[in-house]
Amino acid sequence: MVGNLYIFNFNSMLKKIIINIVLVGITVFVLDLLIGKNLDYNYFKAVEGENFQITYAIEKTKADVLIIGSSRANHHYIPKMIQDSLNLSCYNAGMDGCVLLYQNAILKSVLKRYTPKVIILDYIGGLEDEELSYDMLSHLTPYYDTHEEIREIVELKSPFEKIKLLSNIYPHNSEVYSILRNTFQSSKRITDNGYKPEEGVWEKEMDTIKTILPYEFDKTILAANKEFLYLAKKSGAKVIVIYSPIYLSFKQKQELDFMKQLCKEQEIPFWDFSKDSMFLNNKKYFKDVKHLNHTGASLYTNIIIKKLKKELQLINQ
Amino acid sequence: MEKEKIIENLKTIFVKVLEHEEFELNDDLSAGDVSGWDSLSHMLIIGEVEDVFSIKFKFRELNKMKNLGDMITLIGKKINS
Amino acid sequence: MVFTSFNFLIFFPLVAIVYYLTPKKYRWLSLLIASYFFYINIKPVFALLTTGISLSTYIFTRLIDNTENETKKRNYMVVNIILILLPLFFFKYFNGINSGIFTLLESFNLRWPLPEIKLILPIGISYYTFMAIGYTIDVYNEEIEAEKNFGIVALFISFFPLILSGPIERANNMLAQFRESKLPNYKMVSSGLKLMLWGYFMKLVVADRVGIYVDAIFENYEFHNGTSLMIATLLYTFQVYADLGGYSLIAIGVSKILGLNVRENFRRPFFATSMSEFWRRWHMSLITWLTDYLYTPITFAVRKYKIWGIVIALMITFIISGIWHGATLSFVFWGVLQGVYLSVEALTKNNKLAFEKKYNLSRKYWYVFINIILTFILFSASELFGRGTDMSVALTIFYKIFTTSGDIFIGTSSTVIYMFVGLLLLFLKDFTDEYYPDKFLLFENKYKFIRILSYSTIIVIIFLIGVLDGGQFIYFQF
Repeated sequence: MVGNLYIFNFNSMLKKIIINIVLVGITVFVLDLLIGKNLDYNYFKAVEGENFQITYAIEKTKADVLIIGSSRANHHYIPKMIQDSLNLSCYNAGMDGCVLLYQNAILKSVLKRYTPKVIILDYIGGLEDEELSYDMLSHLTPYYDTHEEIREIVELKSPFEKIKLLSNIYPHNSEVYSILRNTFQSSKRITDNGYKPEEGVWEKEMDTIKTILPYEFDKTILAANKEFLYLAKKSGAKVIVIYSPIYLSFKQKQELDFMKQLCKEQEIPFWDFSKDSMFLNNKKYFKDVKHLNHTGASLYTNIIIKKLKKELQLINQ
Repeated sequence: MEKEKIIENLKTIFVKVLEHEEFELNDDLSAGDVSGWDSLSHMLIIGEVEDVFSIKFKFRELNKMKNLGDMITLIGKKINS
Repeated sequence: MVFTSFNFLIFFPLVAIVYYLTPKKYRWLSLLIASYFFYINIKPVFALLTTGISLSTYIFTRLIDNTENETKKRNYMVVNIILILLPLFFFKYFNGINSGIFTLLESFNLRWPLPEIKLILPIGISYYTFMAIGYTIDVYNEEIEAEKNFGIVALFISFFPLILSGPIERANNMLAQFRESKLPNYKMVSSGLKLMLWGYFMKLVVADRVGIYVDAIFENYEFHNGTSLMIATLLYTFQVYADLGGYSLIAIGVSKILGLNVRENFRRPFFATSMSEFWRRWHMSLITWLTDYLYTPITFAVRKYKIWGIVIALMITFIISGIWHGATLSFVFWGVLQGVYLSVEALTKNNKLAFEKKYNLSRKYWYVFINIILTFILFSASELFGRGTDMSVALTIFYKIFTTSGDIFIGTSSTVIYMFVGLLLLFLKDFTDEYYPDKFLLFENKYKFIRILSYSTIIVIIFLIGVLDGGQFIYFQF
């Protein structure tokens, strides 16, 4: 009897707990809906800043020359110079820290809308830091509901992404400040078609990495690599993969060889600047080990323009 | 030795180690009740007690000592044996 | 499967339901299975270690209990402690010893480069090793009888809420609770849920956000000025508190929901007015463990040296505590610093008390405030060496703090703002809990509406500015 009474008490206790949890759940649901929808509205209202650039790349750009890549793409290619000398419109869709999975999403959204004349992939690998590839997909969560091609890529992030994205705030996690800033800031800062110049000069000596030890490739990212090249090539655009200058000396880098091989198979030009002496001997062109400063970027963009001219002439002939 | 005598001696020891007199020694007294009686001064008190009463504690005995009453009983047992 | 992973949010409710439904007699078994499932999912081989330690501890504690012979008892205890410590030494110090020998070989050009084997430290090993040792000593000291059910001992060693990072529990608290397996009452479940929620807040909103900022500065310390390094040093202490403290709260909350009371680990440490008080509020489960099993026996052994015996015991205890954190010179130095702080306090304690009494200082706000700040700075300075960085790096940072200055590093303003919001909320909660325990109640407000709204707001804040994935870290490359 005492035992039964105890169970009875326990059950009524559980009932009380569950009612409270449900009450909290409802409150959270309402708050989440109100705040989340508001953030969403303001997110897409932005006219400048990182959020705007992602939206622009995914939904708006019609540029002839499209540059895709990470921060190294973003700070290395100056669209205005390319535009002026090649007479082709150009957009730099490079994004800090965003590697291959993210880049695939951009490419797919773009190709759904139009086919650029030239697609430049600034390759940095990202095979070694696979976690980053997945984490950076958080940039794409705001487009999850509306862009089918992006949905499956976002879902790669974790097996529970679908559940997490039931929340309206989650897609904008850690973005509340940038969203509010864009809303309340009236002055429009004009960037050069996505390009952000880097200031500052690197002052330390060059690091030497003798060999980069072999590591296992993540299968999903590997497949994404191949898919990117395949889709870009199939679209009819002129595809070029570039490893832009880096202030680092290494004998052999596995993922570089891997990409070279991949490009060879698909007959895509691969321009390797990793051992370009003009940059390796001049740290004044660098802001840090991985990024050129504006001076370096201008010089580099000029070289790319010359090479592009040749490449494009070949096609026209 | 009488219990009162033990308490009297203990009082002298506590005053010597803690350098104040704001405590009332009784059986239920424990470290938390006396300002300054903490893990830093505890073993100093034990050392003084051993010297004054010319006894030796075993470590296990100390572990089982929960308040002043326990200590007084233990001291009484030690000096009478 | 750590607490902050989504898997855990699915795992735990399932465990709780199964636990509630299991007949009382077998509840310990359901917890044991859940615990091994949890640990195996982190890395299967690690479970061999917990099994081994449980087995050895079970056998030797039974042996201790079953003999009257004092020497035998003692030997059994010593043998078991050595056996338990072996894996800890092996895993914790293997890599360090290896690289030491490699450097030696290289300096004589004798290094033959074969693929290196790097060992991963079995997560939680430092914690359950201490728990097993504590249990063994308790049985030896006749504080507790050796448990006859091997499953209960195994559960004690592997209990999933505690296995990752404590609190370091004691057998005399846990074994009986496991045996009885009482279901929780309403108060326990609701306070467990609240503790978990606040733990998640501390970990995700405060610790991980502060971590982004602090790491950005420390990992590129060459590029930062003394002012930024000083800010990072002070913030790092908050990070550790929010990280380990938050994790502990989740562990305590999870246990409560299962009907088990687990000791607290942090009690608003930053309101301590002296280092000795600080250590009664900071990582309490570790420090009481060290006090009971290391410090007290040592002070007993050296009690004839009076106050200097205390100093010796303090130094030894904290140096060992430093080495427990990691086998590097900087951790040893961290231990030495703590030992020195506390020794100085022990030597001057009576004078300080008399001085405070004479001028009635302990009730003056400004005096309390100065002591709080001083204690915090002293501890933060020591934590610079307790971060696991190289001694030379820590010293360079220390030197830069006193020799250079400049603007405070901001990096991305959003990170700094979110960090500030998190720290402010944490401070307000701790401040009111410390000084106005019955006022400004939100979680415990008498109106249900306000309680519900408070919990919901915390959850929404976690959604908004919690660090929910690694994507946030990238913003902070120098």
